[in-house]
Amino acid sequence: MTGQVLAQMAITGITLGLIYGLIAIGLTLIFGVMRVIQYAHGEIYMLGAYALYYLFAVYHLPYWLSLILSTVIIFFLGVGLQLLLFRPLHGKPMLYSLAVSLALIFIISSGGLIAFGAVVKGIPSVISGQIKIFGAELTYERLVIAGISLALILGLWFLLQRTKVGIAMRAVAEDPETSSLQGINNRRMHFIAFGLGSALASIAGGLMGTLMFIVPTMGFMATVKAFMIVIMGGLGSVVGALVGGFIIGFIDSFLTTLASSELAYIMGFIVILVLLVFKPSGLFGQEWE
Amino acid sequence: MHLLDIQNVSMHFGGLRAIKELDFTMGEGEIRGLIGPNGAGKTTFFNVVSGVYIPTHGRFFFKGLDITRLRPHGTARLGIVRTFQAITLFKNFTALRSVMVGRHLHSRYNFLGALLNTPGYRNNEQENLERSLEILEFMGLSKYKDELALNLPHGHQRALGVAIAMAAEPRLLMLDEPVTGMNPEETAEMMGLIKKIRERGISVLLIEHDMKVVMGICEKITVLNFGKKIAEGTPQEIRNDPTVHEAYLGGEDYAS
Amino acid sequence: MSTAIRAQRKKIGIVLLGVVGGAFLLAFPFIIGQARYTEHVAITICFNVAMATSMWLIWSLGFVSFAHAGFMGIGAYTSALFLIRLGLPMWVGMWAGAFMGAAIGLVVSLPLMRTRAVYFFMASWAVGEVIKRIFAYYRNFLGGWEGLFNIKPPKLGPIDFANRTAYYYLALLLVVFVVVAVARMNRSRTGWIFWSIHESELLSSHLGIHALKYKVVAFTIACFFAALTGALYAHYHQYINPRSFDIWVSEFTLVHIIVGGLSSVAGPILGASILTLIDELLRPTEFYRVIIFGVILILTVLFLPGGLESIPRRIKARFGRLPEDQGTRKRLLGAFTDGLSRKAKGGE
Repeated sequence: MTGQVLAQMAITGITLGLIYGLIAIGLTLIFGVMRVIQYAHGEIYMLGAYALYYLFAVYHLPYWLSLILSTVIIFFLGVGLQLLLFRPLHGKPMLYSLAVSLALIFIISSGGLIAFGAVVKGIPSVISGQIKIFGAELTYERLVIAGISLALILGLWFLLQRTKVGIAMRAVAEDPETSSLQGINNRRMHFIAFGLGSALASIAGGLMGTLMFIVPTMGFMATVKAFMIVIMGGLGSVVGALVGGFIIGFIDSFLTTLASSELAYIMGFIVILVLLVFKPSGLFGQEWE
Repeated sequence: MHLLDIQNVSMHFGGLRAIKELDFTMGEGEIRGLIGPNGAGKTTFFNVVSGVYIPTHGRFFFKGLDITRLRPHGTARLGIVRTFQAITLFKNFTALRSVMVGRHLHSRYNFLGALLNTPGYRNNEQENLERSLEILEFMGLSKYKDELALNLPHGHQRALGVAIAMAAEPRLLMLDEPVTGMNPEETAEMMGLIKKIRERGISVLLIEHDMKVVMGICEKITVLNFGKKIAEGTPQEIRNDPTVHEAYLGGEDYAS
Repeated sequence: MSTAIRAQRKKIGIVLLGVVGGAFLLAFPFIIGQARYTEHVAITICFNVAMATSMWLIWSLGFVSFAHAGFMGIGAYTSALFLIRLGLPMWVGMWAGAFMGAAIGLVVSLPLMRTRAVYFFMASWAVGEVIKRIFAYYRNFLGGWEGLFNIKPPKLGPIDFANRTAYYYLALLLVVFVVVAVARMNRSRTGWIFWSIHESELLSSHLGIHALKYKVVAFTIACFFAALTGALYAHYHQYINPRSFDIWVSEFTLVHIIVGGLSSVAGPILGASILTLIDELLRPTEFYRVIIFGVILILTVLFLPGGLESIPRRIKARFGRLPEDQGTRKRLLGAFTDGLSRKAKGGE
């Protein structure tokens, strides 16, 4: 194995890890704050990718504007879903949210196939050129995408640790009864969390779409990976989502190059199952019932 | 031989030491009280004995048998049955069904018999039904037998919890705050019931904050604070014990 | 009207329903003049009801298994291979398939049942996915993505089960077997034990109920039924491929039981029957039918949480005998405030 191949795999691994991290953090936020299973999280990711595609590639708005606009649109979509579908289920057993989000998968993915067509599309590159690291190619585009992801993750960290809103969200996630007693508007936090989680998925979709391609069925895999990562990292743990994202990102990158994507897929599952045997609550998970 | 013999048991959760080197013995036929301020480790103690937690250090025995590592279904099988601080019921079962389930260990349940509805199964269930009705009668819940547990008033829900525990035919019944939220009438009723339970040959270990109850029916009281035993003795002795007074100062209402 | 007389009337009503319904089901192919497509739908309904009912068995302990279709596949592939490679007819293959499904279900459930319900659905998903990939991976032995062909239906004396009418009766036998077995389990103490674990594993374990044991038992039995259904499915369609047993199938089965109702065996029966019918009616609309499924599911969860089986109850509460006192009213309403998890009443 040459240094070049290794470097290439590492680059891909890091990029994937960051993007997977974004999706997973979005999911773990939703779950952590609301104890809701958002099975359709991957579909939101898909919608984000298509939103970017339409704004940028079809309506020819500047890339940056498109990215921001698509994110904002999906943020409000998330808030809307929370309002209409998940809010009424608050306090009910998890099967309800699973059922509703399952229904969303049906609706969104089939709707996507009808609206967007089953043809694979690509989001045109904005930046060209590359540099070489250890003999491996690192396109500027990939660098920028990784940079955006990193910035978002850091921004999120800042949000959760330093801002009032973020701390409030964490309070609700940890102990909803106490947080409301302390004057926090739990309801508003739920909306923000759902919107934010969806927005993260949306950006991840846009970035991944720019990097690779988009197709209406891309949501399925995203959901699988997101849940795998969140469970591995521990439900509700942002750090866990990030770490898990990197683990899966690297497994994907290395095994797809060395063996096959099939094997990468299966290995991801095996790693998680093994991990759950030793740490049933995930790497950083809290014990909760 | 003691009924329950706890030897130098500690229960740590990460940095939190909920129980520290506790020694505790209890004899058959006792009604023992377990008191202490909030957070003293009383419910943790129950959780260790019943098998929800495995202690970090130490061992404990039931009638001479080492039950340290037994899980709840194991301790229940030996005759240790408990109730819970928070109302823990089968919410969507009727009172009667709940008690019938409580009889599990003594129901002579057999999977195939149940599946094929054999005469043996039907006979057993008839007996289970009769015994369950008896227990409901004993606990004063007969008229609620077809009510869903979640629809029962608070006091009756607690009584149902005890009824379910009784159905398991305990040798040691551990009650965790059985009269919380009950009015004085219900409390007095429960006190009478606990005495009657002991008359049936069942030993009782009682966690309770209501001092009238504890002083009223317990022959011996053990006091915990910060996971350690700080006093043990008759109600009279405990009432006058300065360490106990101190433990409760600034926290519990320790009215005698 | 006293409870005793009411109970007796109910019993007579059920028996009557059973007799009429049974007669209808038996005469069905001839009622419809042995129309091939209708018989196909009926057979599909039978398979779906069997799958839904066995998935419901797992739910009675509080779990949703997304591996269910995978076990159907295990039964299908085993039975198919018994015929194709070993030349043994379905009469042997289907039991081999069922026991294979049960055995693998047993092995898988031992670690799986230790996880909490939230993780379980993902873990079961993973199991189902792995099973499907294994089918797809072994080209030579299992046919890979192309699948297996020529899975001929069996004969029994003069009866050739390639005849669709004959297969209908076979499918009917299957579904009756599964439904009766599950209903019987649920109604007996076994069912009480299962539901008690569902309601409060903490309490039931403190009563001496070994939760893990019963979870494994229920899961294994459910896998047995799913695999048996799979075997019959294989010999009916005479062709199977890994995609017939993927996560979508498990998900649709879940939709069947949620829409039908989760508190009694009537739920999966109603849900699977009606939704299969709707599915067939909507077949020409392609993607729209999946969307409609989603909409039906959302409407059910939001507005009819007890499912289709709760409709008679709701009608009764609204228009029927007016409850005389708070107690009865509370009981009737209490019964479906927690919509998805109402259990049977006591005193049976």
